[in-house]
Amino acid sequence: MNSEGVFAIKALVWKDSKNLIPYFAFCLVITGWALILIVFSGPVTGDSPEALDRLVAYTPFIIAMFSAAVMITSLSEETRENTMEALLCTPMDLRDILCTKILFISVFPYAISMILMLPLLTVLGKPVVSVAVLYQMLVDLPLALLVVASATIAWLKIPGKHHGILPMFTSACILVSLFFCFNFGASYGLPFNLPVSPLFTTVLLVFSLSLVYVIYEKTGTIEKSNVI
Amino acid sequence: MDSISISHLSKKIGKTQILDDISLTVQSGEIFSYLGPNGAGKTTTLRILLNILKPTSGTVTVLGTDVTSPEYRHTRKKIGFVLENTGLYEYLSAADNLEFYDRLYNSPDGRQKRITRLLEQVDLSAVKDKPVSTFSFGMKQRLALARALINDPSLLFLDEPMKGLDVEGRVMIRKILLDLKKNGATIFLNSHDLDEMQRISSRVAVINKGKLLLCDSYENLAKGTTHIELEIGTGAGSLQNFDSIPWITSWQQEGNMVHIELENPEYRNQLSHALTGMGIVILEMKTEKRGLEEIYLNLIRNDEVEENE
Repeated sequence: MNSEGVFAIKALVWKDSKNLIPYFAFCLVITGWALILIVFSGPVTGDSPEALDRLVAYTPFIIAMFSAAVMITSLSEETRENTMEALLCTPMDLRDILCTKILFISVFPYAISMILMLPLLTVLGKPVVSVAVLYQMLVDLPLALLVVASATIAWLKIPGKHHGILPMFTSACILVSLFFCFNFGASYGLPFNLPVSPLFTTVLLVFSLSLVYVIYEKTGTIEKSNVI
Repeated sequence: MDSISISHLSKKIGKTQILDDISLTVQSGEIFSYLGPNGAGKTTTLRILLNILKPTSGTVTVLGTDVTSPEYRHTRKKIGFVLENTGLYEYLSAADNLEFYDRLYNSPDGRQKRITRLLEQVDLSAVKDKPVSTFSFGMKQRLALARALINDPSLLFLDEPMKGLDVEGRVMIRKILLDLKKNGATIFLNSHDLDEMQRISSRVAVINKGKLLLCDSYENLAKGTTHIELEIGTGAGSLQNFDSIPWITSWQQEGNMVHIELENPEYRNQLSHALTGMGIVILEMKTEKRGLEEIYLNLIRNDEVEENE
């Protein structure tokens, strides 16, 4: 393992983190919009709880969406075609590049998303960290890492003709993982049982499509679709 | 010794044949140009040489290592590259970009000196701390070249290195490349810039629609394309005898102007004697060596015609 190279990539990701700002802004807007929709949507369970209760109930999923969005967008930026292609031409081992990038790009925005989301709950007068939120954070992190890793591997396996695959694959992964969490939330020990409502499905779909658009724009895959 | 050896290389993506049975060698210490129109397969070849793409068939050896073998990763330590998209980190400064790549190739000893020297070499010292996103295209190209030289490579792959450069930039890059050649480095250039290639490269290969049309030294190519423009006196003798002269490739008469293509410029004197023998009065004789551009265009044109037929 080229440890110097690994450290170099870590340093690079840290220095290059400024370009995450527009993604955070984008994710905040989308998440805020999703929050509004959820708060003013129909009942979560048959007991018609208050809006804030609904919000708290959905919070783990909002966090999952937000962190996954940040991770995926930041990964697509950091591993965008040009810089990744250049890295692949260096003596760096592909595994080193992959592992370092995934770990450093995934964990960093995840931590930031937590920091951003938790004060929001405090402002709303709810406990800063509920057991459910903590539990979901634990579930969400490896799941999101898995999504990111699968997407990256799928992308790198077919260099030169990966255009469009990354955003489509990642958005599919986000959808699947979120629906998985959603449907099996109770089996994770979450203190509620949430049915998949048409509204939530719409929110997820719109969110995913917006994400695909941003990734397409940022990675330039539309313009570069004719690689040859 | 060959730095690059490509044997029967083919690449197919989906149903499209990108490269079709390409075979060529690049000798150590030469500047080799790889020319072709857009979509010819130049970048695909370069990607295969760098093992970013796998060949469908054929073998490719770079610095004695098969590019598809695991050992090729170590061979990359001796290779520099400038890709079509520079792959620079836009939010980092020029110095930070170089430092990053230096860490991938070299030990920390002398790092700052190396970076300073390279930035001076490409005339970017004054903007070394500015983010690359503020650079012009030409500046990015120069920085990408500096990055390619960070490991003091014995083989350089450059994709359109002169693209977007002003005259000063071109002169600078040309000088750097010629200095590298002097020091024994091999340089493989993908380019559309025929004039520039003619100035610096020793051998050329022309590719069109994935097929190699020729691979030869520029010197050899230039030999067969000497163009003579003659102005002859009125009432001159018949030119029909030209048809029987083997070293005249073609000729054409328009009034008292005659255009002749010679196999070799050395036949110029023999042409004068032949004309005098035929009783033709030469008023003026102009010799013009046909450049790579005309040779290249003829090759591509002929290939298109053959394909249409």
